[in-house]
Amino acid sequence: MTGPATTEAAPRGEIYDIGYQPYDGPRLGRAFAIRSLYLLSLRNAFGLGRGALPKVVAFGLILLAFIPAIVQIITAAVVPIDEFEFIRPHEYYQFIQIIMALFVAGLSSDLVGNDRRHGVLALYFSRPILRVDYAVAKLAALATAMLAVTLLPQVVMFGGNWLGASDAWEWVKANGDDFGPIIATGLLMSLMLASLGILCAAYAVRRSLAVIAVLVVFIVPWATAQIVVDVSDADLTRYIVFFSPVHVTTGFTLWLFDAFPTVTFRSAGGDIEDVLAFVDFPGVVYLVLAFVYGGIAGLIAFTRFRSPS
Amino acid sequence: MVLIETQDLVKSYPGVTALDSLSLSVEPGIIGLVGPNGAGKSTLIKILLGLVPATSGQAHVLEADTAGESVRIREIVGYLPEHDCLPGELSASEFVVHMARMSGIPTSAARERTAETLRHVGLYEERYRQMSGYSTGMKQRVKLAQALVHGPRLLFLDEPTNGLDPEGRDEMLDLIERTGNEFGISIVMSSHLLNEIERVCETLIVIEEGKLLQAGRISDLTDITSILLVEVDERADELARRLTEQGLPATADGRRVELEIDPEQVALAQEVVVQSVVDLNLSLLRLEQRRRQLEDLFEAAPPPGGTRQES
Repeated sequence: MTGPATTEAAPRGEIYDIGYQPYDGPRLGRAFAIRSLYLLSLRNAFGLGRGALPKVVAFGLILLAFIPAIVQIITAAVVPIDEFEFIRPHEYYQFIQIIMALFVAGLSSDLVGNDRRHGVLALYFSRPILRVDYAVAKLAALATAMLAVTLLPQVVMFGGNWLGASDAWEWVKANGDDFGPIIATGLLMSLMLASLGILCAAYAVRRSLAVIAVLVVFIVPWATAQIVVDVSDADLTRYIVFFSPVHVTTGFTLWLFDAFPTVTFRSAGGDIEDVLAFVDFPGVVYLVLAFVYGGIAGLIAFTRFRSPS
Repeated sequence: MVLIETQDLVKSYPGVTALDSLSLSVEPGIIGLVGPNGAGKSTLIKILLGLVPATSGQAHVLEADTAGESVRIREIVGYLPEHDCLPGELSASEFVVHMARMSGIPTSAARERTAETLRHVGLYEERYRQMSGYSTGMKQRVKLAQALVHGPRLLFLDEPTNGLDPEGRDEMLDLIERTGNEFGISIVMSSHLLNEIERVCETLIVIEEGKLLQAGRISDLTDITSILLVEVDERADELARRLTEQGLPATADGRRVELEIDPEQVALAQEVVVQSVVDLNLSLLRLEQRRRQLEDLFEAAPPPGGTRQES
């Protein structure tokens, strides 16, 4: 035990120190509590208010997610964009797929796993909130943080391309249609990945397990789908892409950007776009699936938090 | 006002009945909740906080229903859980501010009250350090601070002295007593150590295997009878028999005779004892009166199940 136990033994003489007092000020209740949890979780997501390592990891991944945008902007500054475009908005997520997966894996493990590991949940649930409020605040914080690697690089690239265009007005006329899909896919991507992340972290308490779980959810179904579609001819096997989050996110992205591939010739399964073209489902299916997956993952996670632990 | 009221409260888990038709009514004050490990103390606290739904029955805390108004209850109640619950990478100060806000206290008030509360529990400069480096005693203080910071009207402390050394235990009990008495905050404190409860609490609730064994003010429970202890040089059994014949039920144990008597009859009983000793021509070595202690209550009527204390 360090320090004396009694307040009398603290002659520090702060003028305003009137000691512990009963509280009769305002109590802002449930909404304020949820907002506080959301804001703290969001700060923690970027490693703010934590050690050096979480900051390095978070901002390192964000930087990596920006690299395609930076390369494109530099290219656009040198070569006029109407002559050469290094990366189109609808391809962006495919470049940073693994970074998004790593980001959501680390984040969900931090935001949800830490509370479980340290037993803080019992304290949160002794506050004037409901269990579902906790899950909503955490999911909202995670999805908001995800925007840093989904929406933000796209918006920056959009702005950079615009500034680099030789004729700004002409460029907007040609590319302005992309802005809506950029916002829509950014939001949807963040929400769906955050739901899957929360689900993994709610079940895998140990940090390493949670990270591995998230990566398994993204990579294993993706690789399986690529291979199965490539080697098999049966009509049934093409449904396997429905169970791969990467194919689903790519599918709705391409569809929302109106860039859904229509080529159905037989090709090697190396490229996601080729596989999506080959299995030949209407693009809107992937949008519906994204909502279904996000919803199911969120619901299971919410039920998990609802049961007393 | 009634602080806590339960009616036929039942909580069953698959295969286990944690609470078995528990009915009680408790006035404000410092209340001790006693029972062996697994008696249902933590379950009762969790139901009263609205963290766990009861299987059947009703419970009210500060006149609010735990089933429908748990959010309102938790706004004005503090809770110190039994297990570890502190995120090590935060400092005590950051953490308690956050917990105050989670209770709905506006940010500026949360900051002020955090400083005051941490000082109250005896944490000073170390409150800006990461909690992972704290001793068990410091961690218990932070746990108490987070339960107090929002100015609750009632505190639930689940085994607050768990894991503390004797000195830390004393300091924690002092702190709990001061918190209850100086600020008029009612406290429900669970413990499996009777002497802790006796030292701090005014009211006692004893549960075992989910059933209520005893509830009441500790002074009432211990003052019902006084014990008169008589020590003579020989023939103690003869003295005991003679006293019993005169309407003072006594038991002999070696050279000692013990009498249980009404506290108001002590003077009269002493006279009878002295007269009997003289009549039997014995030498009186000792004549002593003492108040019953909580321990005596349990020795007189051992609770079912046997294993009463495992400290």
